[in-house]
Amino acid sequence: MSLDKKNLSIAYSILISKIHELKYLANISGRDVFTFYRGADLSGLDISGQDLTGMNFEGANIKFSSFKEVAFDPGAFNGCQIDPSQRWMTDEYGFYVRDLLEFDPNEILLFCKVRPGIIDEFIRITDLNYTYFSEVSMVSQNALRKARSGSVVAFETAQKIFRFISNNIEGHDNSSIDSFKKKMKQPCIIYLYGGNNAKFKEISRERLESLLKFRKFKIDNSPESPWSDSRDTVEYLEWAEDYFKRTRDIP
Amino acid sequence: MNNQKRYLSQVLSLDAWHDKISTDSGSSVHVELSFHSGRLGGDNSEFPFTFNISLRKALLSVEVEHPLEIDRRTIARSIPGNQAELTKIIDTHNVAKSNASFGGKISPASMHVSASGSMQLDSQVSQEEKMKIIQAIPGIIAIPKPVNSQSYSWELIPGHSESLDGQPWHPVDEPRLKTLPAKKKSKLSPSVKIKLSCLLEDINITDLKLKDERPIAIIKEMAINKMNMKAAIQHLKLSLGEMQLEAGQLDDRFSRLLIADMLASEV
Repeated sequence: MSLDKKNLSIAYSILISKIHELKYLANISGRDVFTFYRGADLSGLDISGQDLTGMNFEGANIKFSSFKEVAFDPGAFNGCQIDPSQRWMTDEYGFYVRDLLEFDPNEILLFCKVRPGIIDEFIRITDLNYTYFSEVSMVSQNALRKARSGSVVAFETAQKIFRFISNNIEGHDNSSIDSFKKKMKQPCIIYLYGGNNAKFKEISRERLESLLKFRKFKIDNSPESPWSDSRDTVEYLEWAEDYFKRTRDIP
Repeated sequence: MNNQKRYLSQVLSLDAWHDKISTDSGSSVHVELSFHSGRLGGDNSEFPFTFNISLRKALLSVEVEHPLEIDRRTIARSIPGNQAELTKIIDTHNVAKSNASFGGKISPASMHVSASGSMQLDSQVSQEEKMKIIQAIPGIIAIPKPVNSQSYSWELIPGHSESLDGQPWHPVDEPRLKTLPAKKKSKLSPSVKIKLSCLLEDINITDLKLKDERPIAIIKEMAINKMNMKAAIQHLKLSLGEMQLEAGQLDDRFSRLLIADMLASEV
């Protein structure tokens, strides 16, 4: 840890390496290659032809860099600082399976969309069938069908699906599992709110965090009430936040 | 604070104080903050290279201990105070960051080109045009970010350069905030804590140079590849970050690094 002799010597080895590929250089560091380049400055580089699978670049500045014929996992560049010519490298799936499994659905009413293909690939690798999947995960066949096709499902449904996948992923043929695990590690979930005759709208991580912060503030400052911490909708929190700002003169 | 040197704290100096806590009136909290870039490795033989370090962005927080509360009417305003002006600067920043001919970097020249919509290159922007930008835009922009009744923050970003440099506000004339009068007298004064933090991607490492111990011919041959340079810089940032995590894991992109923290002294 820190700028000790070992880390300085690793930095030196990276500098003088005769191989100039991002994955190789990250491996020299001994750190987790998946997260190594998060938040990094990778602007103005020629990265063409490199294998970037199994790596995530969220927060990295990749502007003005060339990514011709690069191999990468879908979602790997979501959340990067990009220039307009790089939009093709990103998509709308901004949340990770880890976020999904750690989120308490009793805080805010949310819905999900899962990246199409993920659930089907899991079934193909494990050779389980949909009936078994549905029974053990306790997700109806209909909801499972919707999730597989990338349609909107309840938040708890998406959680059950991925808990099942996480619990049943080990013990299968290694190479296909490794490739699947890489894809599942990348952002593959969209969070949404709305429904109930209104259109579903996507919500960003930043917006969700700020609403959760406000919700906590509202609960901490509410008079004693058995409903003060019951599940809120995004629409209610946005209204409450705006009302609070206007009446309490918060800048 | 652990025994290891806080390298990141070399890029700033921080001091803070507040008026005596009393039940009659609120107490002003003052923060004296100054940023600069630091060069690391020169005086340490263990470093095979030297490099510049600075901050692209930082978050200053003031936390008052219960039972103190912040008087929201006294929060220092944003810099610049005019919302329209602030929005205009942020918009100009965004245009400058998309400008490939300036490498997406913010500088007086790229800000001038973005604001005026001209097609000039860096070398074509006159000294006068650059000075106009430096005079019109504050060196450091401060954006207030409310937290809760006991805590308030300001996000600090450079106005017309890549890194924070100088003082964002006058430490005496521009207090950060005032607390409400204390609700009751107490023997122990509640504390006022000041923290400065940043994200990993806000650390700016530049101008990395190998130490000059080899014959010129070999140095020429060893011109460092750009890809290697950026990977090495990322490794250095991660190493620096490991020393100073506030909470969470380093692989959590949203973890803040605590650069400096102190208790404001009562004067």
